[in-house]
Amino acid sequence: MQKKYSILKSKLAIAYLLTFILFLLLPIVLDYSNNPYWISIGVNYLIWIILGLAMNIALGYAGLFQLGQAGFYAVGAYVVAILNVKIFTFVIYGITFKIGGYSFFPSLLIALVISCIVGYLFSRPILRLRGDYLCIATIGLGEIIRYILTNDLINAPPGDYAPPMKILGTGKSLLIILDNPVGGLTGGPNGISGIARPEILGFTFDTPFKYYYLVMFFVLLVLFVMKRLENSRLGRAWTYIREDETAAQSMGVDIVHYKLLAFIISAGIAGIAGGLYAGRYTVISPAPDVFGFGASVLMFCIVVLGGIGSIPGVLVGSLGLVLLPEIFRSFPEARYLFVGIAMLLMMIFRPHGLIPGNMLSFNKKYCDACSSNT
Amino acid sequence: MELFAQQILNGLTIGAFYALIALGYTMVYGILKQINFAHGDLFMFGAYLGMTFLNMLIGAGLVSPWLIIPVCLASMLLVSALGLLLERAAYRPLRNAGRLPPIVSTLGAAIILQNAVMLLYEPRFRWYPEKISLPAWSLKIYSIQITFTQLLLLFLSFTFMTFLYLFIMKTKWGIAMRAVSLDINTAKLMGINVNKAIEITFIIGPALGAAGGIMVGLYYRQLIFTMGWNYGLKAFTAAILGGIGNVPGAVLGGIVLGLLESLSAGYIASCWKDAIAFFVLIIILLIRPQGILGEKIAEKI
Amino acid sequence: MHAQAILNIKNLTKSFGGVKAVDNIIMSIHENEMAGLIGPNGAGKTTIFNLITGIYVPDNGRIFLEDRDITGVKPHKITGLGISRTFQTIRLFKNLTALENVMSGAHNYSYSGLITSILRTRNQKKEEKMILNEAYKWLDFMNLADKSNELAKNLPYGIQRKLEIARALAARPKLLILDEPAAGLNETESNEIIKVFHKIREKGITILLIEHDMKVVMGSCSRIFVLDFGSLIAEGTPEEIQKNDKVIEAYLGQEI
Repeated sequence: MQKKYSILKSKLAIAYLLTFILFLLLPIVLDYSNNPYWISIGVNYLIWIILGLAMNIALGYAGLFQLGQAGFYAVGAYVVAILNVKIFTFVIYGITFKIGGYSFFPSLLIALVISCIVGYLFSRPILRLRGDYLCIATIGLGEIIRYILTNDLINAPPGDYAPPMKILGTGKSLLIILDNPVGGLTGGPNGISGIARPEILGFTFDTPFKYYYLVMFFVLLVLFVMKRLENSRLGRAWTYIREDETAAQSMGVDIVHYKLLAFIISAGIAGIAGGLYAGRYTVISPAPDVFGFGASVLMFCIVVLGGIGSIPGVLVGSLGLVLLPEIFRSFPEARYLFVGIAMLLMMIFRPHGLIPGNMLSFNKKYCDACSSNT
Repeated sequence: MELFAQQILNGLTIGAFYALIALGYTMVYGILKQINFAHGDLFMFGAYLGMTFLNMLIGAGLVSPWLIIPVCLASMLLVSALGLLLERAAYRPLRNAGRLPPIVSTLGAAIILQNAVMLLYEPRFRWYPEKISLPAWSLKIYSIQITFTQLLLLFLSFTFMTFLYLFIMKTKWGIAMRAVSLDINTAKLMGINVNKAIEITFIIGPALGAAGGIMVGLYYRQLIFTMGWNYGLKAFTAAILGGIGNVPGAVLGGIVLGLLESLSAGYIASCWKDAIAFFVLIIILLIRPQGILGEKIAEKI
Repeated sequence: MHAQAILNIKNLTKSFGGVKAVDNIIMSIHENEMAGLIGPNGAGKTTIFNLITGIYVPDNGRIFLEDRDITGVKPHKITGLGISRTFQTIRLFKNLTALENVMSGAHNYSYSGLITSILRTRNQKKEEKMILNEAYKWLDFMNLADKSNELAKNLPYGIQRKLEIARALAARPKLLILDEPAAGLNETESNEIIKVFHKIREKGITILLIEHDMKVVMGSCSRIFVLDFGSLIAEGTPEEIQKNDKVIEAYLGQEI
């Protein structure tokens, strides 16, 4: 028995290693064969992996029926864009300081924090809802975020030049001024353009080739965090909640606390993906299929198609949903038709996903333990 | 006051559409405890079919508002056939697969429908034929204008809903459907043909959706292949609002949502009406998750 | 009397939609005893369990664990205070292994969180080892060591019952609450479960039991409480209960 599992374990390690090498070499091969288009697809794919992994925490681990995830993705993208493009003057009790005009990486860090905060505010009131009700509430909240972005909270002044504009406060204790209000705060339906590309120590991630490795770094970071959480007290608490909330709380699991954590971490990771999206395309707008319900559905499908709670499943699931339309690019009109057919057929023939989480629920720590125990 | 009354009237009309679509959601949810994400697209497909049939009849030289009746019936028939197909393909094979797989399969079916319509009808706005329209006659009470179209649509919606209610409450199959929705296994043990009850649900729901589609087409005249998502989401919200699984609840929820939207469009801003609708939905979910008419079901521990 | 009572229930009342499911119950469970709670279906037994474990909040009355008032305390905190339970309808984590199920018991006395888990600090590793050892200890205790890597849903019914007890024990309870642990078990299995009860008591753990199988109740409990229509109608040793007129009436026609 012990032998069987150590084989499984090493096989898994080899599979991960091979995948890693493949991901590492892919753009080099594509670059060599002069295929820049496919490198940008690769970047897109990696961003969707991050989104899928984020969704996997909420849906796969904690079993939270989340269809508003695109809201956090949007928050991440908009925070990076706004902090990059806009400059605010804050006056708080006579102390004046400026925020904004930041480069990509500091903005991304703030985007992470703000996505987490929005994740908290978003989930706290609806946490006690279960199943489908939670699902509907998250759809509603996700759409509300998109409407806020689309409608812009301030009225953008017309023309190419406008003087700084007061957006909040009266002046005594708190005053917030937007220094460059042209185009509004979120840019309404047009969104925000002219977002700077990421730059670090004079090195700019300006081509898809370079950007690919930047996103890959974040994929690895998120994977590392998830792997660590998967086999931890926290990760187990999530799966207990997913399996049976009542039993979980009877075993001492504070379900409110852990669900909140799942929402917040998942929101933060989706926010990072949003920031990376903004840095990649330098233009963002609140289109429903980019930052709305359509995108949330895609994230949901990545997790279910890949296999609930399974990390390799996310890699495969997002590959399918991002690549399939590209493969059928020669039928540009009909390509999403194939996605739909694939989703339907997949569920009929493999309802538990391509790589079900259970298959891999055996992890190495337990192996060590059982070999030492028997 | 004028604005208020006019918005109430508009809200009732929109609410009647939502209610018709919401019935499909609530029936499927009641019986299978599943959200049918393809229902909005069945509705959209019905609207397009209606347009096609009307164009065909005009092409054959027939022009009369009475044609709407056979066109409506034919579209309802075809869309319910599609509904049956959906049940066979996306639900039946997955009946024991848990909660999530049917969601993905119906989302897949929704994407298929949407893209099929996009391919068949091109990705642009399409219009209902101008030659066939309802009488432009309208009623004026004080200064509130009630068009014939509005009156007819309201009348038809409520007729459909009354028939559905009577069907569910009074007929043998209606009772069977209610039994299945209460407890599918017990119903099976009592000798109820569960498959047939589910099939009937998938005939009636899409048929009503198709009728709603044609009414939306006649009212707004304009169609787009993505309209299923939007109306679907709203109608589903309406179903939850009224108490999902509850037929009169869906009607009430649709009307409440319609009124809410048109009042917020009239008094706040029309760009915020959807956000406000969702906000109210969340409030309702928190205060009364079982909806306005739904009954609270305690979990047995 | 008060000093040696581990659980004190005072005037406990709970209604559902106007029906009093539990009506003014006064009960006291002694340290390291095995008490049984019996009564016809719908008498309110499980409601009492749900009140003790915090799943329901009582309308009236108080519950004390040792000297601590635990009325209205959240279920997950009650586990940490020393009460754990099993369920009438088995509520295992179906898609997790037997081991992972039992590991959940250790949740209430382990502490690592988000940051320590990501950093995998020394304390976190130590704690993980402790959790595993604890889980194996209780699997072993219930003779389930060979089932540790099987998914709970694939285990036979009788084993699932035992696994649920192992999980509850892993929470290190002072008071273990068992809701019909012998339901659906065959003769051999229920005999085995009676032996398990004795083993648990040897560990110094108090047991409160709901059970319909009178052989199990009479064979293992030292004191029995009888509930009918939400009220306590009798309390005493198995011998006293068997002779009690009220009890015989409540169980009319049934052999006790």
